[in-house]
Amino acid sequence: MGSRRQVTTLVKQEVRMAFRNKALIFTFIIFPLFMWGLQGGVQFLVSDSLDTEGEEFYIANLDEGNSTVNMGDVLAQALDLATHTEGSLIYGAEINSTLSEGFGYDELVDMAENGRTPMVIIPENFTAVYNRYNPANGSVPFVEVITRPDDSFIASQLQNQLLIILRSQPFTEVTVQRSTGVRSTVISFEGESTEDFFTISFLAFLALIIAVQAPAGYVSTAFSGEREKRTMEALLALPMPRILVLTGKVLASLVLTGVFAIANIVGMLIFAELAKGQFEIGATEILAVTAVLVLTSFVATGVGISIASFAKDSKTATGYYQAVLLIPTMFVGFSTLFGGLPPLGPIYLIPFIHSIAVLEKAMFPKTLESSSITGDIFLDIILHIIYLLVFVIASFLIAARVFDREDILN
Amino acid sequence: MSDVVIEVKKLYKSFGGHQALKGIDLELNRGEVFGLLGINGAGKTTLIRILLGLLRPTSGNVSVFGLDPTRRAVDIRKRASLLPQECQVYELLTAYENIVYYGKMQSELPDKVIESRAVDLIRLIGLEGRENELTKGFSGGMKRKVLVARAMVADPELIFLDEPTTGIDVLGARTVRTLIKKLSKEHGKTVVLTTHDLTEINELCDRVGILVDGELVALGTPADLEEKFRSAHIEDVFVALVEGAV
Repeated sequence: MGSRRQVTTLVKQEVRMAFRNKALIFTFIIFPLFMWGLQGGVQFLVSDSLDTEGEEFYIANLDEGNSTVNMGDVLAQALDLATHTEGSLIYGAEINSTLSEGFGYDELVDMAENGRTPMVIIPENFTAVYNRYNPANGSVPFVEVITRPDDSFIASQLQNQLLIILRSQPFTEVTVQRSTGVRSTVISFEGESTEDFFTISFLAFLALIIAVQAPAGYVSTAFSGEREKRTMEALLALPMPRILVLTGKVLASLVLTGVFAIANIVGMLIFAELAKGQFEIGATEILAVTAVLVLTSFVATGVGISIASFAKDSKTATGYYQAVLLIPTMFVGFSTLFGGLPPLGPIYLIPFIHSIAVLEKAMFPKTLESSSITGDIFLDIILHIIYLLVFVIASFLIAARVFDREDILN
Repeated sequence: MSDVVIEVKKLYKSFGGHQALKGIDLELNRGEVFGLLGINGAGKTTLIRILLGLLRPTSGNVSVFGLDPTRRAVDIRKRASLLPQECQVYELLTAYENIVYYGKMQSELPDKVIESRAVDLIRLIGLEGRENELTKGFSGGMKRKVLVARAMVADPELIFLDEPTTGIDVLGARTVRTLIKKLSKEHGKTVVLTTHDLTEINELCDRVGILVDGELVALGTPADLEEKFRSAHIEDVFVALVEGAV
């Protein structure tokens, strides 16, 4: 008899039953859409409830330019255009350009420190530095565009609008670092943006919670649910080794994880649309987050199966699952949300931190030296993935042993 | 081909300190309907589970179709099916899907044959017209009928039916009994049946084994046992043995 036919039949039935189970539909499809949509909605409402109409900011363009172009002017014009473009973050704001004459850079910084109106100071070497940028020889010049004070809404919107402009033509080589410690916007011509870094940390945090939470329902139903509903004995009395029964269940969970990934991609697209301007999310971010999400979900399934195999009913299994998986996940999520990855230490025993490490190291290889293992970022990523896979395999082996106990029939 | 389907010698099974089976000796032949009687906890389910390789014996020899269940359980289960005592259907599958699912998982028969057998069995157990409804809306008796059909769909040579008619209405129970008779007499299937309905034993079983506290205290045809224990009915024999009156 073909084991393949048995496993295929088992997978088909598991998936069919999952799609008829309202709780599973919720966790695999509705929950991610809701989570991403909710977050996007919150971002949308936050940005929509505040507007910059009538607000004022200064632009002090000190850029000397060169014989053909003044990139400071280009930047100033783009900001000006944004104040007239509906939907932009500084739509309706008014620009006061009077400060560009008669003041030096240091004087302007002093004025910005003591004033109440935010100020964009474009330094005199802006074009020169822009033109010097040369990735071939590794030069990393930078200039600062100061927007101070940054404790007002208009200042924050201004900084974000700058970010958007500097990602558009002709500034596509420019990335922006903004640190709340420095309280200024630093434009550099190479490197990684802390703004982007926060975005990906935020996405990783959300993805982690969703990916760990999603398999809970299926794992509980598929294993302890069989015992609870007294279908386990007949299932185990079928002519197939228990390891194949387990394999079929795991494959079914993979199919459901695929559905879950699609729901998350749709969710992220909704989030990206709603949070436009505050979080810039492109195809690369979505694909990277999805890949890590699937991997994390697989790990959660593996660990969850071994936990659920000990429980006699779905409720107990869900309780074990939440305690063993969700609490450490929240701990890891919050630990990495604002400060990137922590240095290597005991926290790395928790598998899910490796999911975040894979994502953040892939997206920001230069930022994450504190958590470096080998010094080679590619090798580090492979090691993180290996740790996760070892965890999955170990979990399945434990589940297989638990599944093989005589006690499973009771 | 040998006519002996099940052979059990000096079978012991213990769970921790509890001795569930105590030296069982038993032989079952092809085409036989064997009734296994005993109160709850007597060891009936444990014996069936050992025969299907779901539990390992503590000691003794067990052979099903000449195969050792501890090593060849999968091969045995290809030819044997089980309707467990407290088993439930998958409530998120229809009656038809429940039956076909097990058929495909258990047998090498082509899908179309399984599907055709499922349709026939649904008609036989009286669920025609409701086969495409999810079983979560079924009564306990209807679910039990689905389970009986599920145990038979793969055309197994040996069928373990642990209280198959529990919860089924009078007409349904009669249908199941007719089905069991037909399987045994016309198709040569071996059936191991446990039941609390002792009239069922008289009607269906060629031989009966009575388990009391893990020991097989009586074995024979219903008539032999009635004669041996000078009782008018197998029920009296059973009660006397359980109460230790003989």
